[in-house]
Amino acid sequence: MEFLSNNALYVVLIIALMVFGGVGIILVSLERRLSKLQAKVEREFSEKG
Amino acid sequence: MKIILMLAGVLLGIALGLATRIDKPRPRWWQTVVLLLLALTLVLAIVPPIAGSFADVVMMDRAYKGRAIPVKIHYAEPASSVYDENTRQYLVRMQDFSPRRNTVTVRISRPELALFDERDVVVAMVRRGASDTEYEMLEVLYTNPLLTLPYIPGLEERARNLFLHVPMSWTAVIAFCMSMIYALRYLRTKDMRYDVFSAATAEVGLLFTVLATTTGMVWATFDWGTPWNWDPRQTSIFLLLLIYGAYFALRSSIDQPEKRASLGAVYAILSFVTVPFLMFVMPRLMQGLHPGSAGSGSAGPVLSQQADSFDPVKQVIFSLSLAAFIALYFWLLSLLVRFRLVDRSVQIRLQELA
Repeated sequence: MEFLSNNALYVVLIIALMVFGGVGIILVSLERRLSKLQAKVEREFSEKG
Repeated sequence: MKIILMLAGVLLGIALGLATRIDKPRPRWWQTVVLLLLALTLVLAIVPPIAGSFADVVMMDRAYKGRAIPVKIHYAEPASSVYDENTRQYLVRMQDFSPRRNTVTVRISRPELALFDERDVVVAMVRRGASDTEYEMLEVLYTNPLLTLPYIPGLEERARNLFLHVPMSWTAVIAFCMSMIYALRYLRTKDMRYDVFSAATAEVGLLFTVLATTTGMVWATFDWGTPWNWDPRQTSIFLLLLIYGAYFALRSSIDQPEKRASLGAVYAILSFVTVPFLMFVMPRLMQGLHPGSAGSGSAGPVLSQQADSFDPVKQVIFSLSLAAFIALYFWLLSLLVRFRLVDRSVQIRLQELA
C-alpha cells in the first residue's frame, strides 16, 4: 500500500478533486436554481394573495 | 488538547452551518468558504507523506521480518558519517521526530546520501538492521516535506481514510440529534415547518451514515479481510440504518400531514435515544475488530489519550475535516428543506385552487 509514495499520488489527487469538483458544481447549481424557484414561488403567491 | 481541537472543529462546522437560516439561500461567500474548506481537507488528507519513527520500524519488523517503512529523520550530528568499506555504505547518526527523539545509526549508500545534506529533513524507507540501534535506509522518498502525517501501524497509507470515515459518522450523529431537536420543536409549536426540518435532517443523516459505512467497509476489506464482518460496530450501524429506514417507512404510510408530523416527531425523538447507545456505548462494551472495542487496549487513533498518539498535523486536518463535513451537512439540509418547503407551498396552493 505504498502506492501514494510515487506518481500514483497525483492520479488519486486528480480523481478525488474531479469527483469533489463535480459535487461542488452540482451543489452550487442546485443552490442557484432553488434560490430562483423559491423567490419566484414566494413572489407569485404573495401577488395572488 | 485533542478534545479541544476536535471540539473546535465541531463548533466551527456548526457555526458555519447556522450562520444563515436553514430555509434561506446560502450566500455566495458561504458557498465559497465551504467549498474551499472541503477542497483543503481533501488535499491535506491525500498529499502529505506518511512517516513514522524508528520505534515503528522495530514494531513492524517484529510483525513482518525485514519490513521497511517510511520514517522522518534528519542528521543527529553534522558530518558524522563513517564509511564502511566492507558494505560500501556510510554509517550516519540520524534522529527521528518521535517525542523521544531517538538517535540511531543508519546505513546509507552513496547515491541516497547524495540526495540530501546535513540540514535537510527526509522521509525515507528504513528497515531494521542487526539491532534496535542500527537501521538501513533503502530509498529517499521526500526531502524537506512541508507536512507529514503520522504512521499508524496496521493502517499505514489507509490512515488517510481517517479524515473521511470518522467525520462522516460524527456528522451523522449531529444530523440525527438535529432531527430530534426539530421534532421537539414541532411537538411544542405544531409548526409544520419544523416537521419538514426534522424529516430532512434525518434524510441527510442517513446519507452520511451510508457514506460512513461505505468508507468503513473499504477499511474492513483491507484490515479485516472482508467488507462486512458483523463486528459490533458494523452491527450497530446496521441497526441504526434499519431504525431510520423504518422512520421513513412510517412517514410514507400516513397520508394526513398533522398525524404524520406528530407520529414522525415522536419516532424521531425515540430513535435518537438509541443513537448514543448504538454509536458510542454498545461497540465499546463488546469485543470486536473496530478500534475502541472492549479488550482492544486502545480507544483508536482518534480518541486515544496516550501521549504518543497526539500529532498536531493529523489533529488539525481532522478538525478541519469535521468542520467541512458538518458544513456540507448543513448545506445539503438547507437545499432539501427549501425544496420541500417550495413543494409544500405549491401543494397547498393547488389544494386551495381545486
